[in-house]
Amino acid sequence: MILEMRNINKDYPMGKSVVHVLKNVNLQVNEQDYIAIMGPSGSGKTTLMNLIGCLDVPTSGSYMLGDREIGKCSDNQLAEVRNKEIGFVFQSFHLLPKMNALDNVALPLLFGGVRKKERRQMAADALRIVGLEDRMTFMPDQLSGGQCQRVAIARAIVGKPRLLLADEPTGALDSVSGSQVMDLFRELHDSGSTIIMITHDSNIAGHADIVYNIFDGVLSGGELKGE
Amino acid sequence: MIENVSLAFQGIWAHKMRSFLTMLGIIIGIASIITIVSTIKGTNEEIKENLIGAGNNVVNVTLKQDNASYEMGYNGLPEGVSVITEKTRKTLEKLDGVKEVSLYRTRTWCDNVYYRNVQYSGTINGIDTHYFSVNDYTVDFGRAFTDFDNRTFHKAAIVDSRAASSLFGGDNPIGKVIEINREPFVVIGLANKFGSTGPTISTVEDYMTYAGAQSGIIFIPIDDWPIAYQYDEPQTVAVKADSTDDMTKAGKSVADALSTSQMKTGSKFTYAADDLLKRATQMQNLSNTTNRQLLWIAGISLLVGGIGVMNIMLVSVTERTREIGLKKAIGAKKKRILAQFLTEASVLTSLGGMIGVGSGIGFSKFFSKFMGTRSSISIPACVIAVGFSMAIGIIFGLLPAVKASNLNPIDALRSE
Repeated sequence: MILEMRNINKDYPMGKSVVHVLKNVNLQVNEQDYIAIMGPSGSGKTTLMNLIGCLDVPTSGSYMLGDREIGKCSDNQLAEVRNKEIGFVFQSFHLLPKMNALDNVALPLLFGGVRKKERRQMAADALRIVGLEDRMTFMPDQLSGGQCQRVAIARAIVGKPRLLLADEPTGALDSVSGSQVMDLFRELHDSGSTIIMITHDSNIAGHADIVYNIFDGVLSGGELKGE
Repeated sequence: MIENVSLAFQGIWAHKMRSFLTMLGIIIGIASIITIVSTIKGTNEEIKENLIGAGNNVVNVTLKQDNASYEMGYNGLPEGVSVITEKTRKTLEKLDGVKEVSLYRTRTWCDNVYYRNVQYSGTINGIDTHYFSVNDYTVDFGRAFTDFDNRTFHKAAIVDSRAASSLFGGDNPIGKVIEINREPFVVIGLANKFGSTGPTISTVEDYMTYAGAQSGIIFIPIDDWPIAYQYDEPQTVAVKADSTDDMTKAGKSVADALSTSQMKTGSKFTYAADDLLKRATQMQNLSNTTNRQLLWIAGISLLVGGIGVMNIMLVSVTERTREIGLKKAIGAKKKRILAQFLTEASVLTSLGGMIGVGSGIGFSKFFSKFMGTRSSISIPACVIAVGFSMAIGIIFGLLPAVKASNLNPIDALRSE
C-alpha cells in the first residue's frame, strides 16, 4: 500500500459557519493501481485531490503517504513530498510560458536539487516517453493543447514519483487529443505507474481500473471494474 | 543562484520597456550621485594641486620665532640656533615619508642685484645641489651647480627665464657677469621649473608667497651666501615627500627633528612646516559641505526609485501568481520563491545602478567639458554605487518577495 487515508475530514470556515467539505473519507491505494475519482462540481473532489496531492492538510483523520504522516508535516516537508512523491497533471497544463518544453519538464528536478546535466538527460528521457522528443526546444505557445498536456505529463513523471495525480487531464482538450492523453496514461500504468485521476466525466473515468464516486463529501465505490 | 540570475535577466529582457522605466529612478539617482561625487573629487584635486603644486609634493620647513615668522635682522642666524649641516640633511632624508631634502637660503625683493645698469628685483636663492631635483627644476642651458661649486665658493649663478629676460633682455645669459651686493657672479645656466602650473592666488598670503616668484629667481651656491650677504642666514628646508598624502607627516617629522637637533629645548626658536595640505583640506571641506547637500537630494531620488521597484515587483507577483502556484505545487520551497523575487529585484536595480554609473561618468565628462568644472571619476564610488543599488533591490524587493513566497499554492493555481 502506498497511500492510506483514514477517517479524513476537511472543514472550511465560511464566514461564521463551518463547511464540512469531506466527511470520513477512507481511501487505500496500492502500487500500480489506476484509480478514477468521479464527482460533480461542488462534491469535494478538488479538495480531496488537494489533500492527496499534499497541497493541503486534513482537519482530522490520518493520511499516510508511504511511511509519512502528512498531517504532521511542515510546509517545507510538504514541498519536498510534492517534489519527490507526487507528479501533478493539471487541467490547464500550467506550463511556464517563457520556458521551452525541456526546461518545463526539468523544473521539478531543479527544485529537487538535481544537477543540470543530469536534469536535461532525465527531462529528455521523459519527453521521449510521451512521444515529444522532437519538440524539446519548442515554447508552450508553439505546441498544441494535446502536446502541452503531454509535456505536463512528462513533467509529472520526470522525477519517477510514487503517485501520478491528474486533475481533469482532458478537460481542456478536444476529443482526439483527449484520447491520446488517456492512451498515454494507460501506457504509463502498464509500465508500472500508480495513477489517481479526478474527473466529472464518466467516459474518462471509464479508462481507470477502479472508480470511486464522491458526492457531498462522501466517498463511495472502489470496486475493481469488470469483476 | 546562477540560474536565478539568468532567469531574472530573461524576465527583464522579456519586459524591456517596463524594466527600463522601473530602473529609471535608480539610473537617475545613481547617475546624479556619480556626477556629484566626480565633481567633488575633481574640485578637491584642483584645490590641492593649486595650493601645493601639481605632483611636486614639496613642503617647506622654516625657522620660527615664538611660532611666528622669524624676522631676520642683520645678524643672520639667531643666538643658540646652529647651521644645518650636510650630515643632518642626510639624516633628515632617512625619515619616514621623506624622499629628498634640500637646504636653501632665500631673499625676496632683492634690490642690490645688477647687470650693468639694469637693476633686478626678484627672489634670490642660495641652493644646494638637491634643490633642482626637489623643486622640479630642469636646466635648459648651461649646467647646474655641483659640489665643487660649493666647495670652492665658485661665484656662479643660475637664472630662470623671467630673471634672464628682465636682466639681459633677449641676450644669451650664459657667461654674463652680474653683481650681487657688489660681488661679481658668472651666470652658468638657465633653469626653469618643469611643467609648472600657475598657482591660484586667493589670499594676500598667497600673493606674498608667489609674487617674488613671478618676477624671477636667481640661484647661487648656498655656500656663497655669506659672500653676498655676510652671515649664515637661516636655512629653509625643502622636503619632498613620497606622496601628497605624506606631505604633512614628512614636514612635521623634519621640523620636529630639526627643532631638537639645531637648538636647545625650550628655545623660543623652532622649525615648523608650512601646512599647505591642511589649508587645502580646509578649502576642500568648504566645497564639500555644499556638495554633500546635493548628495542628499540625489539620495532621495534613489529612495523614490526604490519605491518604484517595489511597486513593479508587487505587480509582477500578482501577474505571476499562477507561476508561483505551480512552482510551489511541484515542490519549490518558500526560500526558493523568496530568492527568485529578491534576485529579480536586485538584478533589476544593479543593472540600473550600472547604467547609472555609466551615464554618471558621461554626465560628469560632459559637464567638465562645457562648464569648465573639473571632474575625476572615483572607482570606489562607482563600485559602492552599484553595490548600493543592489542593496536597494534587496530592501525594496523584500516585501513583494515575502508576499510571493507566502502564496497558498491552491489559491495561486486557481487564479486566472
